[in-house]
Amino acid sequence: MGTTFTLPKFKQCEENKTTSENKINMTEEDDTAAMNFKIITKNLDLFYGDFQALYDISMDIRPNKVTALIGPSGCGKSTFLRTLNRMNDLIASVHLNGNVYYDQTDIYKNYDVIELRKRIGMVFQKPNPFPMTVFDNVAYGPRVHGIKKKNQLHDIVEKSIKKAALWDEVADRLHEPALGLSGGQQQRLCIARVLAVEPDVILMDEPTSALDPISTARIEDLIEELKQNYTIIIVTHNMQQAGRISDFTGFFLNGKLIEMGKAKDIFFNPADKRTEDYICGRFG
Amino acid sequence: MKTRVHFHEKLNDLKMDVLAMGGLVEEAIGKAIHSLVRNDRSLAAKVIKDDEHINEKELVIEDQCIMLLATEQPVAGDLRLIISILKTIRDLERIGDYAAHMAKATVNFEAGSLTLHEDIFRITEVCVSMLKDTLKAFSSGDVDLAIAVKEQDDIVDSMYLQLFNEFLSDMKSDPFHIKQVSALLLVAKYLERLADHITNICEEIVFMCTGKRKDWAK
Repeated sequence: MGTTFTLPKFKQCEENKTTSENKINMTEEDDTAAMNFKIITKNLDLFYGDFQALYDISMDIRPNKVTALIGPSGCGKSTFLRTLNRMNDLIASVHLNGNVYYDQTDIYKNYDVIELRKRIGMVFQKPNPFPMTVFDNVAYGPRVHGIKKKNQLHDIVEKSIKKAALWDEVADRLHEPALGLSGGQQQRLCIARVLAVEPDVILMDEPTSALDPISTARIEDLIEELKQNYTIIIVTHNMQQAGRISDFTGFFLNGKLIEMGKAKDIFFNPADKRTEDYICGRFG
Repeated sequence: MKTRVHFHEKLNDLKMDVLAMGGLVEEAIGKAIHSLVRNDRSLAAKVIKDDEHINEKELVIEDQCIMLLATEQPVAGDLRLIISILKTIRDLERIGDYAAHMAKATVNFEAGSLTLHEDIFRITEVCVSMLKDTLKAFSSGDVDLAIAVKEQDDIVDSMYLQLFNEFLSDMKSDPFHIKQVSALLLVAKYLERLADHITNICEEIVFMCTGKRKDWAK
C-alpha cells in the first residue's frame, strides 16, 4: 500500500464577505471603466519582511483575455501573480500596501479567501496532481466545496476533464493513479482540477516550463480555448509563448511594472528600451 | 549581463552584407552610365556579368535571414531589422537589374553623331546620391535622412518628365536618330524606376527604426 494522503481541512465561510466597505472606491466615470476589467491592482507594494519585492504596481486585467507577465528571474512577476488570489498570505513575513480589486471588490478587505481561491484558481510550474486517482483529483475541489452526490461529481469530473482536453486520453483510466500520467497529461489534469470548481480567473505560473514541445503546444491550444470562458493570467519565461498566446503582456523588472500593453505592440514595437532589450535577449 | 551575443553579431554581419550589396549596386549604376557615355561595350558587358554577383548576394542574405528567423525567433527591433533587410535586398536586386538594363542599352546604342543630354548625367547623379544617403541612413538608423532621401524622388520624377519631353521633341526633329534616342529614353526610365526602389528602401528604414508605417500620402 502506498502512503495515505490526507485531505487538508478547509473551513468554509458561510457568507460572502463582499460589503460596501471593500467595494472599489471610484468616481462614477472610473466605475464605468472598472467594469471593463476583471482584476485591477492599484499602487501595489509588497514586502517580504524588509525586502520590497513589488513597487507601486497598477495593472488592469481584461476579462476573457490572456495576460502574460514576463521578466527576468526575481523580477516579481510570480509574486505579483500570487497576490491575485492571496497565495502570499501563506508566507508569514509578507505584507502589502495598495489594493487588489476582483470584480470591483478589494480582495484584501474581509474577503473570504476560500471563496476567492475558488473564483481565482491557480496552475503551477510543476504538475502537482494529488497521489489519488485521476477522478479523485478532479473531484477533490467540488467535494471540499460540499458536493457529495456521485452522479453530480461524475458530471463535474467528466465536464472538467473534457474542457481540459484530456478526456480522450484518460476516459478509461479515471480510477488509476494520476501520478501514472505523463507530465503533459498531469498538467492538463491540474487544469481540470481548477476548472472543476468553476473558477472565473485562472492564474498560471510557468505552466509549460517542465513540459516537452508537444505537451506545451497542447496546453497553449487549451489556453486559447479556455479564454472564451475564463480570464487567464500567465507567468512565462518563454517569449515566443507569451507572443503566441497572450492578448496583453506586462514586463516586470526589479519589482516594477515597466510596460504593459497589447502583446503585438510589446513584441513588435515596445515603447520602453528596457522591454526591447529584455525581449530581444540583450540582458537576462 | 549581455546575452545572445552571437545572435547580435550575426545581425550586425547581416547589416554589413546589405551595405556591401548596396555598394555593388551603386558601383553598377556608375559603371553603366560610364559605359554609355564612353560607348564602352566591354565595361557594359562587365556590368551585365557582375549583376550575377548582386543576385547571388541577395540569395545568400535571404538565406541568412531565414535561418535567423527559424532559429533565433527574433522580436521587436531585431525582427523589424530582419524583415526590413528581406525587403531591402529585393529592392537592391531590382536596382541592380536596372543597372544591367542600362548597360544592355549601351551595348545596343550606336552613338554616332548623337550628343548625350546633360540631364541624363544630372538625373544619374541625383539617383546615385540618393542611394548613397539611403545606405548611410540604413547603416546609422537615421530616420530623418531616409525621409529626406524619399522626398528627392519628386525631383527625379520631374527630371524624368523633362527628359521625356526633350527626347520626344528630339525624335520629332531628328527621325534619323529615333533608335538611339529611344535607347536613351529607356535609360532615363530605368533611372526613374530605380529611384522608386530607393524610396521603398527609405520607407523600410523608417519602419525598421520606428516600428510605424508612415503615411507617405500626407
